[in-house]
Amino acid sequence: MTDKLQVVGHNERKVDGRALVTGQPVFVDDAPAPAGMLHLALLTSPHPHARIRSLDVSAAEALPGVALVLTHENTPTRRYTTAGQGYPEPSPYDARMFDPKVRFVGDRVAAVAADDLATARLAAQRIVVDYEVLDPVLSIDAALAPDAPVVHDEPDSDAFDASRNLAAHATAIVGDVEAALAAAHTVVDVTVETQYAQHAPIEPHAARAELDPAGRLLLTTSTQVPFHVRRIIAHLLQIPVHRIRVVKPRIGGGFGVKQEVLIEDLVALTTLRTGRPCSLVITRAEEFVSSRTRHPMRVRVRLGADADGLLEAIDLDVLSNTGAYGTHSLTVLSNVGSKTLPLYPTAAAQRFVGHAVYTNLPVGGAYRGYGATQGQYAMEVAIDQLADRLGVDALDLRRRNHLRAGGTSPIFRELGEGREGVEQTITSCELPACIEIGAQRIGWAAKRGQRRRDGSWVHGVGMSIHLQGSGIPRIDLAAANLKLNDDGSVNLTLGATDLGTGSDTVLGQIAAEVLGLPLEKVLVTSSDTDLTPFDVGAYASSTTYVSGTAVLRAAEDLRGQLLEVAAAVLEVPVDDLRLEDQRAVAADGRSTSLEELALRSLYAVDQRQLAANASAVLDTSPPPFLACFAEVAVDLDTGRLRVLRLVAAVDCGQAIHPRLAEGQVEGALVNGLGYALMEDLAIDPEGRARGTDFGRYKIPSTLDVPPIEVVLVDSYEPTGPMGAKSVSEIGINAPLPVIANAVHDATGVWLTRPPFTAERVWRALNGE
Amino acid sequence: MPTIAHYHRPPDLDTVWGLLRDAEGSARLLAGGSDLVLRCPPEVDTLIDLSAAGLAGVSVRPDGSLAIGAMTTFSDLLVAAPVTDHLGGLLHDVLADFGSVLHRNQATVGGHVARARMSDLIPGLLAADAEVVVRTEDTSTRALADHLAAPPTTHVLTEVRLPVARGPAAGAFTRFSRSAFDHALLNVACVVHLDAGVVRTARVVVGETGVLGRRLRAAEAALTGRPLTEATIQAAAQAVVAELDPRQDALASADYRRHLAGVGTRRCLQRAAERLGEVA
Amino acid sequence: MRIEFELDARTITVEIAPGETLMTLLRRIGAVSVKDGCSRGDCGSCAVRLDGRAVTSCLLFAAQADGRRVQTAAGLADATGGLHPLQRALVDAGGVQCGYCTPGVLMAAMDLLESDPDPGEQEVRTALAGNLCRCTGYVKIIEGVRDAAALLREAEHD
Repeated sequence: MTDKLQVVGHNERKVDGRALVTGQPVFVDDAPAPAGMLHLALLTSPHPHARIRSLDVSAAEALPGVALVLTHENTPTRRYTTAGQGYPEPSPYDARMFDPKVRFVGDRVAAVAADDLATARLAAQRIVVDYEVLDPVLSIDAALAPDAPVVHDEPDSDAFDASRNLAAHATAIVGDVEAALAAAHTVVDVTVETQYAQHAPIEPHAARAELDPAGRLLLTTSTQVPFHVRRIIAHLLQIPVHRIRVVKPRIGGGFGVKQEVLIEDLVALTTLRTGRPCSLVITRAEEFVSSRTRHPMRVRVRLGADADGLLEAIDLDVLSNTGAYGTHSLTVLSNVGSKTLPLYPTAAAQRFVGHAVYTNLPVGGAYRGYGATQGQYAMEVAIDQLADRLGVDALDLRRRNHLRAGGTSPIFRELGEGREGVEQTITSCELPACIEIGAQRIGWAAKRGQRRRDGSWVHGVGMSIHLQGSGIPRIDLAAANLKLNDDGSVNLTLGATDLGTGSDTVLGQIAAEVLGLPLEKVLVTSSDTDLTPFDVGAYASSTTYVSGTAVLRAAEDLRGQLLEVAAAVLEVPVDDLRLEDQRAVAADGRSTSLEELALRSLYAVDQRQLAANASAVLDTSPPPFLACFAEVAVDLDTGRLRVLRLVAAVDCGQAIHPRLAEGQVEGALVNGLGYALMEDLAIDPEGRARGTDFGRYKIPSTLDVPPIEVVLVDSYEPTGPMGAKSVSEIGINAPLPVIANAVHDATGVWLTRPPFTAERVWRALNGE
Repeated sequence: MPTIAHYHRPPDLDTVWGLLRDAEGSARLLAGGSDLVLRCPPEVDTLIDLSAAGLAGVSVRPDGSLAIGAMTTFSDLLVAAPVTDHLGGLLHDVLADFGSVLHRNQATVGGHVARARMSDLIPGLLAADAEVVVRTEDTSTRALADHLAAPPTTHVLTEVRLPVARGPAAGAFTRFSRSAFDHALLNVACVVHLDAGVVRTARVVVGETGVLGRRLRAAEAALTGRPLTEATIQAAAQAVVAELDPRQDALASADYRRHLAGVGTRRCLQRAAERLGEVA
Repeated sequence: MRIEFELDARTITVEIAPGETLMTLLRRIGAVSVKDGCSRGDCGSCAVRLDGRAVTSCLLFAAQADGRRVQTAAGLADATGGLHPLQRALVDAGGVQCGYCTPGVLMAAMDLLESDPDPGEQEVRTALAGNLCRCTGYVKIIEGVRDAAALLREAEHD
């Protein structure tokens, strides 16, 4: 395909690359402070569970320079969810802007706006709060205990069953799982328990509010979901949507944590109350403790198979800890099933049962992988355990069972985003090629099962396979506008949100390809609720596939209009024309430039603005696939685990920008590697998160990352724009199981509790 | 932000000392900066920047000992061959994994020793029998171990000295941590001095959070007077495990730390033996 | 107090609070290529070069810059806006995703390239160990720095 393509499939320079690499002021907090800007500081709860008996803000308000103190006593009381999802959000409305009850250490108590940050912080510390401390719920088991304290005891809770601390519940049942397990030749039963992790974007959440000359509220914010921010802020603060404009400039990473509307309400309300601009950039400690995390889960998977390793039954039982609020509790939970089970459709009986529990702990949220990370870890370890029990090569076992093109899974229909799903047949799946290429690169045949020794170190290799989705079918809407300029360039305006992934570039490439333009003549403007059409935003691996389809459709529409004008100029039928190299070219070789067509339309004949608008909401969500292979070494003396090499072969359809696609996979793999080896937002016995800085919460540095080889396997998704699927999340699911499986190959122990610290491995080696 | 009212950058040590003495506890010496920015005590209102006082650089003294100026950065130390070659590469082991380049460019030896918190350098220096030169009203030289045990309240640490080894000697250092660039769960530094094929003196030092560097006398005794064989090394490692009473915290259990100390001791002694050309 | 220092070849004279950090000062006077990722010296986003050495500006007092030379990523491009080979190579290799860590990475990489014209992969890893990136997985950053070294060596030969 690629040889015929001019822009798509080529490594164009990222459209924002120049601005970023020259350090231009393109992030929220880089803009010069407008005159009179206030700075906000937060006061958060030191208790995991308490009721606020009273607040005394007089000392704070008396401090010179303090403009406003916000607490539950003077702010809107309507309930909402911070989850930046489509409307109505499939997350319980269990939060208030400020609540007289605090539910985790780090929960909001007050915010202070002052002339400068130091004053705001000092004032926040001068607020006197009288807490009635309540018994906290500090684990999944404690939440489920019969007489557990109730985290959400408000009478109007819309959670699944708040009185039993259940935020959400999801099931999907196909066939008779218990009967199939009872009849199976071999059954394996694996339980894994995953930890809290934080997204750790290098730019913390940042937002500014100001009133524009017309008195409208302008919010500039580091968000993945500008349109959801506008809607949710309008709902929460009871101001009309048309009085709010949300702009997302460049943002410093998101990974899901900026799919939450966490701070925009505070700057917005401060500006509305005071008439002054307002800024809030949360601290790194607040980012760790008070923002959002990956839901810790206990995932039990039971597999039943026949003697040849053909799967007959899969039972997936999930307990998810959503923390103090139920943001994304239902949908992340559902995704554990919907992104884990479909990979193995050979099992006729499948069951998924999931519960998300409330605790007085940090709040779970959207995090790259979105439940697939936890579910696929359990599943892929179980598959290796089954292979081990049957004496079958783990690679062969997967080959016998995995989803293929033309195949489907009943789970697609049974389990959607917090509701029933959408049936779909797989229209592209190069997983067989991924497995073959990956196995070859890692040297599977030569290295597996060898337990090569090198002093105190023993080596092993492991593998795992994965899928994700490409947007949420029949829910995610994206739209794009294209407008032709005098010189034949176009403005592409779209709601899609580039959070560093390069989506502005990728989406520009699609338009450029269709219109026969070089990328620099596609001027991309995205994520401004006044200027760009709607898009749900950057989540659920939707952008390339869903937003890309909207761009493709708009570009095809504009191409049609250009060809009509060209047909009039060249006096040939439209069907004889094509666009290439900035010209409309007729079958006979005559041509006219896009510039000429633009000038004619704008100034001369049949005058009009050539422009197009298109939307996309799709019936399918074709999964990207990935086969991952790892070589590890374990120091038998200390339990130290080193990942020596990672190979990931990926089917993401046609890669629009191969280098950016590889970068998505590399970044996701390393994020997952951190989760597997070192990242742990551990909680102390009082319910406080221990890691509040990068000194204590380690994320991988250059020295922690092994050589990584990403191979984009040739593929074409017929339903995707230019053959593309999405690719941003899938890689994060691989490191946990691939490393666990490689460690088993090396040592014979199964690692079921990440992070796989040296001490944990050492204890496992010692039979603990 | 620290509430600092005065900043001085004196051109010589005498002025530094005068300012420090006269400030009566309200001043702090500023070396690289890193630590003070994060942890400036509230009573401090004056900073005395040492960067112009001529305290940077490494030199070999007439008696062969090494003098490391307090303001020498870790980056400069890492390329100072007399230091990294000393005792067969003991301090190279320390420095090669010390922090990131950004920190090495900024952090200084004097600042690091003076802050006296969990350190990879201090166990190495203790194993090397380092001394410090301290300026008060006059100038004195004392063992680093004594200095750390009872630092003078007001002083300027101007220099770290590494005494020359008499006879064949070598050391090694190792650390255990979660990630490449992390506080060590525990670290070990060992030095052995040989005399006619047997260990004349030995240093086995273990550092961890809360313990800058503890000499393990039983392990040193297990080495002294014996040839540096595998059996001797094992005995020393076992002595460490028996003697050490490490801490338990969120990062590691006491059991595991004790085990690591044994492994680390064995590895350091084996490497020291290799560096001495002894078969271990 | 008043300090004077060189910032990207300009002389800056500015009133500061003696307890202010260099990072805060730089961002306050508009040198916002210097990013604040953690304020604790852990992430490297605020890295600048002080007298030619890359350091974390959040762990320096602004006063320490008095009389010294400070370079930031914004000063790398030439006067006409032409990208430095390192900037070009980093973007083209795919080493820039969100770009928030990029200015700090550029400073640490400049340190390396000035002392080692042909760094191996391990040398690049060591040089950048203090610069956290959550987007790229570092693969393409390392590639970009090595590409830049090659570009600079070519330029040297020409």
